[in-house]
Amino acid sequence: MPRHLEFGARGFPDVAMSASYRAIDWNRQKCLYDLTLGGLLTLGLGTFIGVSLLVSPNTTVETLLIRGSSVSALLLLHVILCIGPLARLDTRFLPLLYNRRHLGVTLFLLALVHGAFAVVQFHALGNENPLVSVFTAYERDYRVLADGRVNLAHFPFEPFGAAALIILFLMAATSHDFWLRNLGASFWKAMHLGVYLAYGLVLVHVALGVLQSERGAVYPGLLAVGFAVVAGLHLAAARKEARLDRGGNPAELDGFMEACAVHEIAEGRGKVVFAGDQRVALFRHRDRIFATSNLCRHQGGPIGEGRIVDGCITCPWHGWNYQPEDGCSPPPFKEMLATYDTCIRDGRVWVKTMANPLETRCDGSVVTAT
Amino acid sequence: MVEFVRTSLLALAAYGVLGLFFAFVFHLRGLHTLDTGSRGTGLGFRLLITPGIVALWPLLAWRWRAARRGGSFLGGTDSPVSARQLRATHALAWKALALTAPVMVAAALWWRPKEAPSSRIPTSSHAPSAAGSANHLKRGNASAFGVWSPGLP
Repeated sequence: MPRHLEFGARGFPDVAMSASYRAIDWNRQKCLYDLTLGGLLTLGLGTFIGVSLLVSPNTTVETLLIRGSSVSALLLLHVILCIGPLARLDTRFLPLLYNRRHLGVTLFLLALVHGAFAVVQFHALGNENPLVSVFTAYERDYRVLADGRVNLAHFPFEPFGAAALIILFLMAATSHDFWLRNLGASFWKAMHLGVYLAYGLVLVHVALGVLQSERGAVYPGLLAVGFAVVAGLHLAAARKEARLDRGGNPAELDGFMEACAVHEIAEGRGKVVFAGDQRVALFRHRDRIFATSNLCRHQGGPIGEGRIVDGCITCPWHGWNYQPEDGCSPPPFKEMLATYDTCIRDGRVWVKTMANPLETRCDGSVVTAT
Repeated sequence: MVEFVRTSLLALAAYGVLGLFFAFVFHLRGLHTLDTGSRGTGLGFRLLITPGIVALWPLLAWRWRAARRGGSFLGGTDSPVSARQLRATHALAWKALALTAPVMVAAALWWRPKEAPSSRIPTSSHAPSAAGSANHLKRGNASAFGVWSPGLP
């Protein structure tokens, strides 16, 4: 079910709830986010068009639109791919993660503009159906030249762009929470991982398309830098996650595993620890330590990176919330997280490695002053 | 190849038309059966989910059928994807990208022609020429937008 979010201080979502879907749950933060996105895109497109006209005054409007929309879309795709690892590396980037789906829809619309104008510009004036032409126009031109060199200039690069566009469409069309709920989290998430395939297809589309025409080093250079930044951030985030998963060699006693010192968890805040073979979210609320599964039921967000808002554990991604005592969402919502038993020994928090059955109530371990 | 593409696009168009018809029926009768959370929603919500209904209508038809028979499929009963599995998929995707993307881009740059094909940079100073490769340059003899005759059989 959708939650209505408002971002409070420090960019964290304050939560109010609604029991039915809405098209878009507009709030101040979301409006600000979208206005910023629109402003930056307008600025980027304007700059691109201005510079293009300065460099090549004869450029047509169609060409400016084709190239401007493609550059904006490519830039936005890189930004989108950077947000996930940035948020995992530094929680200050979490507000960017929220509402990321609007970026995805905007990306699709930009790619659609690029594709539509390209089809009209390059394929609409022949006797063949333009859409058929997209997949067949280069058929006879791709060949090995007489000197044995491959003629990549006429390689059919457009089908790669078309395939990426289809993936982006499917992601944009199913970005609403209705789809997450009705397709199931596993299917939905798997489908949205298609963004990586789309990124690969776009890289090929660009390399075999515009890079065959452009002689300079600017476009290949920018593409290389973009790829290096995205890949580097993902690598850094993966290393951080792997370190957490290894989690040292904690002591184990009576089915409990040593997690961390009590003072490492601030009041109203959470901490992710590794217990058994999974991640567990620890929270300190009214001087009691509670433990739940670290996976939000919404999109698998890291619950332990959230905090307590109005007495509820609140996921940092989209503000879904759960009661710390039993892991259940407050009525009328029915989502629930598994809870874990905890205990405190010598100022250290211990977590049971086996989760409790769903809806099991735990009163938490009392933090005593030392 | 051309025939294959034509047939595929025709099949895609038929799939889309069926999807539109399904979306119409689904909005009338299926939406509330499938998901009670959609009750009381407005036109904006319905418009927003319609492209997805058209694209994924066989899947929704299956879910709707299950819901009508009393079975319950909703995300609430589906386990969220395992974080460990998700991280493994991420890692696999990035390994594949890290290996293939630089190679593909480098190959494209290595084999690109010594001179840029002018037909790919259409500006007002570039009149279509016989040496071009795009549809309107290579195959067509039409002179204006919209003159092509639909190639679908």
